Amino acid sequence: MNPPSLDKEWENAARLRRILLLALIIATSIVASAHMADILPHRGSTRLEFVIVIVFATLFAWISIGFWEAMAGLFTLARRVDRFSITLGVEEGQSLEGTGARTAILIPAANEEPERVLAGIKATYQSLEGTGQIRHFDFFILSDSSDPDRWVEEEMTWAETCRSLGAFNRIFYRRRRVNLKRKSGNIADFCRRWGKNYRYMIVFDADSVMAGNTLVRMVQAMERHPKVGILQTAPLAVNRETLIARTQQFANHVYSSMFAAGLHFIQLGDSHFWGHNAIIRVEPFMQHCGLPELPGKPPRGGFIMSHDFVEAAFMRRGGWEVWLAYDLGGSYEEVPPTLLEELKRDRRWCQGNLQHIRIAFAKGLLSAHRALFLHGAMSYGASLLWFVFIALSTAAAFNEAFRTPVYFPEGRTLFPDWPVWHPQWALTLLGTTAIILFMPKLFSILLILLKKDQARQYGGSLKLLASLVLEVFLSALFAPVRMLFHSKFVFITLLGRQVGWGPQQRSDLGTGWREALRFHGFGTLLALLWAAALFFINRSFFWWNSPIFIPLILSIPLSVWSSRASVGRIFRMLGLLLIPEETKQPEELKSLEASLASNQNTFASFPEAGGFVRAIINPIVNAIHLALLRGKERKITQAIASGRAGLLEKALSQGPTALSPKEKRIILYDPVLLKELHRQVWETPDDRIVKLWGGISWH
Amino acid sequence: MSPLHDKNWQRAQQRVLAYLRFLNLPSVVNLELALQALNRARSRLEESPESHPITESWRALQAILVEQASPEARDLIAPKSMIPPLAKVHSLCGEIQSMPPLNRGSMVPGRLR
Repeated sequence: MNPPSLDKEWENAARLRRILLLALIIATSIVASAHMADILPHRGSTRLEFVIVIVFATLFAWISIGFWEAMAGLFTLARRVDRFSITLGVEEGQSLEGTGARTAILIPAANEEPERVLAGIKATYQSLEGTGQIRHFDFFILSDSSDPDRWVEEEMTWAETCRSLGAFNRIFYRRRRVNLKRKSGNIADFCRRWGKNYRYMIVFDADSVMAGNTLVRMVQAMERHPKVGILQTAPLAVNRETLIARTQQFANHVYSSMFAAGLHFIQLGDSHFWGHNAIIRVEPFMQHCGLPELPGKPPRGGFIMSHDFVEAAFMRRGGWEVWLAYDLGGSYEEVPPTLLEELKRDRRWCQGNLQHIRIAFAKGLLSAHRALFLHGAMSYGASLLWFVFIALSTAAAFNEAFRTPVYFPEGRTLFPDWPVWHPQWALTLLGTTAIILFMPKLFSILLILLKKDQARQYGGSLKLLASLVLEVFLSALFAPVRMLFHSKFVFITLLGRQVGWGPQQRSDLGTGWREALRFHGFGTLLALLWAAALFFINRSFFWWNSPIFIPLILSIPLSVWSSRASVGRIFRMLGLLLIPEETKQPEELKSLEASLASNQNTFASFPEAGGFVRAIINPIVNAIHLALLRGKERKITQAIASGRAGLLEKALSQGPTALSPKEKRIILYDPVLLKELHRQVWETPDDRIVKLWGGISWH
Repeated sequence: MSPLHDKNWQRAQQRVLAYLRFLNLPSVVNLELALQALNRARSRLEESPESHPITESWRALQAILVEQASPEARDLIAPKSMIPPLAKVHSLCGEIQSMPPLNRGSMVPGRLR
């Protein structure tokens, strides 16, 4: 399938806008770096100071990208009319009848909480049903769960959801036996099996919820723009109760619309794909977006971990456009509930983004996407640079404290080399940096205040402003902790150490003191030693750096308290860090909350047992699991038969706790073994066996 | 001693009722099915006394459930409306389809040089 010829109009506009952005970034960075050199005692003339200026210039360029993008977003939103908006002309309430477009909604899940995943699907399904367009959509739960308990629980929750919605043959469940290439492999597996049945697929994350109207409008936008291969929405963070997550939610709601509009202004049809809450044209995806393995060992080589950016780049390489629908609402996700969960996720993302550096220089990609790869890598690399910058500045401060000044260096000179420190210049530079960092936030607030009734959705103008101050304060507290961890992640990835890819904790469970100590102990100790050294060696530098080391010293209590839902709720009661979805809950989020609250599973009998035990004991669970195995009873060799007989004997005589996850999976895969175990456990007169299988709970 | 007063028969009764509880059937139906299973097991044990009441009762219950799963037999134990669809445990295998029929296509990994 070849794409129609590309629209030159947006490409020309994008080129001009990117040149302008680059010029602004370079200009501001040069001015700020020159100012930085002036502040240093030797005006950047020593080797150490020269390196400091270079690192500062890189970092300033990095933060000014965000600033200028935000300004572009402000310009786009303030103008109100955007001729390049991908949703222009796509109105609510239009029917998909006659388009012939079928869409699969894919929900990849790997060892996630099935109740939460299915509650999200249920909410989306009901919302879509309300539009009257449900017949154009199918849902696919694509499980990569390796945990035997989760596997069975997923099946049961799926069956119960289908039963309650009457959605058998509309919501499908597929579990892969081999989790090749994780999420990207899972999606590719779907495409190979059923991709030909659908014109579009909308990819969800395990915690995604989308409004039915939004889904229909996404399909309509794709129908209206046949050159678009991927259309990404800007998901809004919702549903969290912990303090840190509510801070992130507030920031996401207040600032992200401006940043997303800015990204759109610069990227136009060369946009991002963030891996979820996006619609994809299936045929070109299958044709162009198969991911290769990179040569070498993980983490630098092997399968591509952060697949989404690469898929967007491949789609563009194939001649299809990738757009960001920054103005489309009704797209929701959840943020990690605790700082530690956020950092665990960042560690994986960091590894994936650094792997992109290799791809950035591959042949055939567009320069816009090369820039996105480097931007992604820099998202974490910048932290290491901040760390290096602070370390070098400390070294320079120590150097000044210990070194005897040389006023008359070797060689001819008219004037003595007089180390000069201008605190007022430093304050000017600090002020400039603060403007670059915080001005976009102020403009975002201004946009809300100027729109009629919008501030009310955040609790009113005063509470909105108070929330802004609180968010800035909390972000400043967390920033050094994030910097230290991100630096560590970059460093260990560069050393070639790989990280696991386990499931995310998505519930509001807090962080314990012991866990916080284990994760933040090193940072606290490092900050204490650094602060003590500065205090005794260079007192003025100590005060300048206090906003960095104080949060690090307090990182353990910060991590614990910010992870508590009770603390988050206090702020909610005070009307702080409110988001519009909390003041007026959309229908789909109400439905999600109701599903999670009721959680009335018909198969919940014997709920204290894990999924595996329930598959053996509960006749309905056993029957459904057998049905989903599709009843295949294959011929087996003598060796396998005797192995199974041994496993059956072990399961009966020692109970489920003696079985390893692998043994449990063997049983769950084998219909004969499963039926036999179910029969033998139920018909045995031996009380010991009954007890091993939780028999007390049966009665 | 009457079989229903024997300790093994009490255990068999508990086992059968426990199994039935998982099927989400109305209590009256549960009792009716349990009684049928125990009676059938008692007659079988009279023929082959080497077996155990628990084993025989559970097997009898399985046989009854298979019989009841057929629509024509369902009304024998209770009015139609009282049996939820999921009670048809043994016929579920034929009813649930978790995936649509395959329609294979190809997706070849792209090149990176």
